[in-house]
Amino acid sequence: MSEQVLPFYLVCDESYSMQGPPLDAINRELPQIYQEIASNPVVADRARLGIIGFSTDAEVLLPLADLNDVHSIPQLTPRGATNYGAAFSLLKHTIEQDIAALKQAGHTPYRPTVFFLTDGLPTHDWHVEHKELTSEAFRAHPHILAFGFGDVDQATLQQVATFRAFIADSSLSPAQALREFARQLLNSVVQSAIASSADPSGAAHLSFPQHATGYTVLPADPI
Amino acid sequence: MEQVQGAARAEAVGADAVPAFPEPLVIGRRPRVLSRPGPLPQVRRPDTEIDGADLRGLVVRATSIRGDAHRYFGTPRQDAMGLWHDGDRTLLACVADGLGSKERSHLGAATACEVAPDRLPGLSSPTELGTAARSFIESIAREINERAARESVTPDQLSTTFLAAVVEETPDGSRHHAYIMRVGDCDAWHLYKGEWAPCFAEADGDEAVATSTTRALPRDFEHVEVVTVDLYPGDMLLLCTDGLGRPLLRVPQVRKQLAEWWSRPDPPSLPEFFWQMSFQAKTYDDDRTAVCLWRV
Repeated sequence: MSEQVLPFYLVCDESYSMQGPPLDAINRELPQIYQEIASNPVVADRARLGIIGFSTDAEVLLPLADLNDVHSIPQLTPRGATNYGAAFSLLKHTIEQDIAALKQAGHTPYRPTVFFLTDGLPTHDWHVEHKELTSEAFRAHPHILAFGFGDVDQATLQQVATFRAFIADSSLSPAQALREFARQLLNSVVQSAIASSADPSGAAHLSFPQHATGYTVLPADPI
Repeated sequence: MEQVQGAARAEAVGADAVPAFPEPLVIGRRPRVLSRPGPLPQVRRPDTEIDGADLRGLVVRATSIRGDAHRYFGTPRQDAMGLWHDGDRTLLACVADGLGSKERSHLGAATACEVAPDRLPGLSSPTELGTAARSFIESIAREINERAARESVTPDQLSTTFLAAVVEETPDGSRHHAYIMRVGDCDAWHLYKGEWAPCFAEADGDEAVATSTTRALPRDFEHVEVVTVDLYPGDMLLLCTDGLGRPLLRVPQVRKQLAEWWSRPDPPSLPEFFWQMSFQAKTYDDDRTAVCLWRV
């Protein structure tokens, strides 16, 4: 049956610079993000979940799947350099294929949401690939939430995010952020909004709180 | 006398005589979200309205039902509806959908439907139809602006889509003529011999991803679309918000099921209509409002 689909992608940095506590934190975090999506039935009904890992290159660790079909969450192991460009290229390619497949199956896909989990220390230039992924010219361009782990470079994190970046501290987790902001996310991505002549793409704007207890929230600063 | 009534009651409520009430029909995969109310919303807004009428040549069934997503979150129904009959030949039916992204939008939808009958111009001359529709919609937008001022919020907080149909019996009584006008993505469908036909031209579906954006009052009062439809015996006209319009458009099983129910010789009773409209289809958990007009 034709369903309204909300694709979520978790894009995880598994480079050597993430070795130790940062990668351990992400490995603990992934099942919790899954649980958080699954525990809200309004989100879970719409959600499809995919996971991409990247270091020197990028690979799809979990192809975009209905939550009912996700039986285990992959674990990340440290390897290689931090190639954001490879991650953004693969993500764009994957989104294109997934959106086409969803439409082929008769579904109505909504704009994807990306959780980008990293230490914000890329080893390669990445701006061209990021622009291709986030530009209006790519009509299925995703919303990107960036989460910083370890020795985070704030400026990089803000450039990657399309509207908000989060810096890990003792109280932050993407699962908590998702719980906190699930409704805003639905409001922004799924619920009716006014068509705006100032925004010809017709995209609703994500409206996350500027300040949230327990979070260090940075404005997005895409270049 | 009392004994007779008592006996009749005992018979009516006998175990064999009372059928089990069916759960809402699930079309396609069973959703995770349940079809039941959660927390009570902070504003007073009943979960559901049901209405109906039996007029000369027309049977009307109408309901505005809170979506299962709003029930889960404990947020109010943002859809609204209204029915008025002038006691003679003219019926006004309205549906409105306060935008999900605006917290006070249920007030905009409710206001639009409340003030509509007082703002209605005469629509007797077809050449004046476009002008009359624009002036009608503009005066409703003005009322929403005034309501926003009274509530001390910006007008866009009350953003709502709106569709109204003025349905007039022709002097010879052979048919009803429906003037339908809208701003935004409420919709009107014509059902005849089990086949659905949209009254408005469908927007082309050439989107990369769906966006849920729509025209809305009070801002877009100039973006009025108008169509006219003639209803002959055997026709049914459906006016609905996108909570029903989307599954109707996108899900063939929904289209088929509703056509089957609503093509039967007798229009449904009020409880049956409410039950039909309560069907579950995964991810279609928005408020649903429908006014069905059977030309009998």
